[in-house]
This record gives sequence, C-alpha cells and structure tokens, in this order.
Amino acid sequence: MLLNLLEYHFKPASKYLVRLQRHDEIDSVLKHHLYERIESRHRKDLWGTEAKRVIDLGRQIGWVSGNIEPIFFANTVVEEIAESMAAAKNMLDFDDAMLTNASNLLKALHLSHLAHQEPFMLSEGESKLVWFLCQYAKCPRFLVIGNLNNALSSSRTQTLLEFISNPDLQSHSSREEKQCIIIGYIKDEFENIKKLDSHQRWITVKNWPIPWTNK
Amino acid sequence: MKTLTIQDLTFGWLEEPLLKQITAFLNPGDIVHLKGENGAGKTTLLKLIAGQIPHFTQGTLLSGDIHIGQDSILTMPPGHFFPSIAFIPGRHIDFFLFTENPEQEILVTKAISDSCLSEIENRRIQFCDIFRSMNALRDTPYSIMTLAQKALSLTYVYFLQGARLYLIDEAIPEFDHEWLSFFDLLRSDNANMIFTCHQFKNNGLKTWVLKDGVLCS
Repeated sequence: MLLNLLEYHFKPASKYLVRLQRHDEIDSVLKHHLYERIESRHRKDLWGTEAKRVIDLGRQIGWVSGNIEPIFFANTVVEEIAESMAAAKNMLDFDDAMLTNASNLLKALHLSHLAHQEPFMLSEGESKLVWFLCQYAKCPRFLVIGNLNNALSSSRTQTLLEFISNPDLQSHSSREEKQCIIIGYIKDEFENIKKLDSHQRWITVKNWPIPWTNK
Repeated sequence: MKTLTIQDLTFGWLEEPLLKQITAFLNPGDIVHLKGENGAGKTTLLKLIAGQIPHFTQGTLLSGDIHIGQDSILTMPPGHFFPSIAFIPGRHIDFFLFTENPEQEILVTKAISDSCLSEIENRRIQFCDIFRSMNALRDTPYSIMTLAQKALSLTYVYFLQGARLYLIDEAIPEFDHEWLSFFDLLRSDNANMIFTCHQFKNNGLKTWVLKDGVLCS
C-alpha cells in the first residue's frame, strides 16, 4: 500500500522537496505504515508474512526520520554503515569492499572522525547523519528524509544537501539510476536547497500527498 | 542570588574532554539559547545541569561543579531538586512519561506535589492559555502523540509540578509566538530556561555558544 502510494505520487529518478505544514507530517505517515500496522493488526504474526512484508518494505524505502530514534547494532559507525550494505544484499556480514565504501561515504559527509566511534555515543545530529548514510548505503528505491531541519545545524544541513545533490558521489557509490529522493523541510532551509538546483532538478511539492489513515 | 552556577566544569565521555573548564551562571528570569554544532556537547551540558550525569550515566572525566541555588547537583541526590528541574530531552522522551496521558499525569502531580490543588489548577490555566493545543492533548494517549506533542505534554507536567529551571533539548521543532509567550511567563516568575534548537533565530535572547569544548556567552 505505502509503496503503491509513493509510486503514484513520486516518479523514479526524481528529487522532491516537500514543504511540510507540520514538522512530523511525513514521519507520522511512514511510521504508521511501516510499524503501527504490524503492531496493531498483526501482533500475533510478528515473525510471519506481515513482518516479512514490512522488512521488504524497509529494503525498498530508506527512511531518515526526525521522530524515530535510530537503533544501531554494530560496534563502530563504519561497520554500522557496512552492515546496512550487506543487509541490502541479503549477506550475513559485510566484506572489505563494503567497509571501504562506508569509509568513503563518511568522508564525503565530513564524518571520518566518527568512523571508529561506538554508534551509541553519537549526538542526536550525528546519529541522524549516520542513520542517513545507513539508509543511503542500502540504495533503496525511495530515500525519504522526513524532516530535514530536525536536529541538524545549518552547516551540517548544507553538507547533507550538497552530498545528496552531488551526481559524482552518487555514481561513485553505484547508485541506482531510478532512485527517488524525497526531502521534507520546514521554512527557512528552502533557499539553501534551491541553490543546489544547478546540479540537479528538484521538484517542489507544496503539500505532502499521502494521508495518515487508519483504514 | 544566581539560580544556576557552573564552576570550572570539565567533562568527557572518553579520555578527551568534551567540555573544558566551563564557567557560566543564570540570574533569575534568564532564558538562554544554547548553540553549537552537532556533537559540540549541548545535550551533554544539559544532562549535567539536570543531574542525569553523573547520577544516571557517567563519563570518564568529571571535575568542577554545578550549583542550583546553593546545592551541588553533582553531589546531592536528584530527588533533592524535585520539582525544580524540568528536563525535556530530544530523545527517549517516553522514559520521562509515567502514565498514559497528561490528565493522568496531573493526578500523579497532585499526589506527589506539595502544591495545593488550586495552585495546580492556576498553573494549568496559565499554561493552556498560552498553549491552546494542550487543551485537546490532555486526554490524548501518549502512544498516538507526535514527538513535539509529547515534549509539550512533558513541559506541561513539569509546569504543573512547579519547575523553576527548564532544560529543553531540541524538543521544540517550531518556535512561534506560543513559546515566546511562555518565555515571558517564566521571566515574570523569575524562572529559567536553557534550550537548544538549530532553527531558532531570535537575537533578543541571551546566548551560550559551545565550540571546541569551550562555552562563550
């Protein structure tokens, strides 16, 4: 259902800027579709077909939320990102190439100093950036940043936007050409985002089109 | 008399100090915008002032002291400061919500607070006059609230309890006239607030900036 709605409203190989009316507009919808359905309707089926469906959705939709706290499993930040790459390829563990790729991603986002830090020691903003890289590394069909403004300083926001807009980086990481990137934002970062238009065409959406629903 | 005094505070999670010999203070009614890059130590400083560190979690380095009024929060038990300190975290906020909704929280407040019922009711009216959305949230279960609504609810609960020092960490996503009115209310009551928020751009407030472990005010 969620995948269908995303496919209906957002085209492949496009980048969207969604102006949010409420800071958690996108996050609450994705949270509902990805987590609450399984909690409320399929509680007894936690490891059954519904759970597998949600896991599969998680592979197709990379979601960086301002509302849900990231959960990290690895001992270091660089391993956490490499494990995301491995999981996306159904591998049990990452290989050296993935570790190198993860290091490169951290470097591109000016986060090399965090590479060997334990993920649970990260600050809120750092967690968000590392979580973004974990999602990015999975090469999902839809990469959604629920609220760009949340928890990031202006300079970090700018770095993140430049990273996303840089076509060289994307090809460097074997990015799928059909990936759709959706960024929710609130007010004043808009001008910063528009400046990046010289690299790629961004489509501005005034209202988030997918409603939260119980049905 | 200073409400808060930070004296020569040094703290580090690991061997390297994250905060270096910080000295700062608050006068009654001061509202402070705490700024800094991601990872600068803003949350850590708020946790130290709230007593979360060292009472609930510890680093490897800690020296200096923090006084709330006359008492050291680093050495006195956290319960000693109830209900003065209101810590509203940016994450793990559910840990601070004890019941199912704000209305039930009031019952707990009434049970544990020294305040009389009319005093609590007065505070409720004051808060809901500023944050009108709180009226609708009072019966709303936390389980369906957004993070911002939970943060507002927790602020509400602390306010009813009679908190004097509010420490709000990235929990206010959109500043508007409601929060500015709340600042005025705190000032008029000589209460204090220290908050972090990357999006807030108001030059009228006292500012603390954390950079390279040093605090500039």
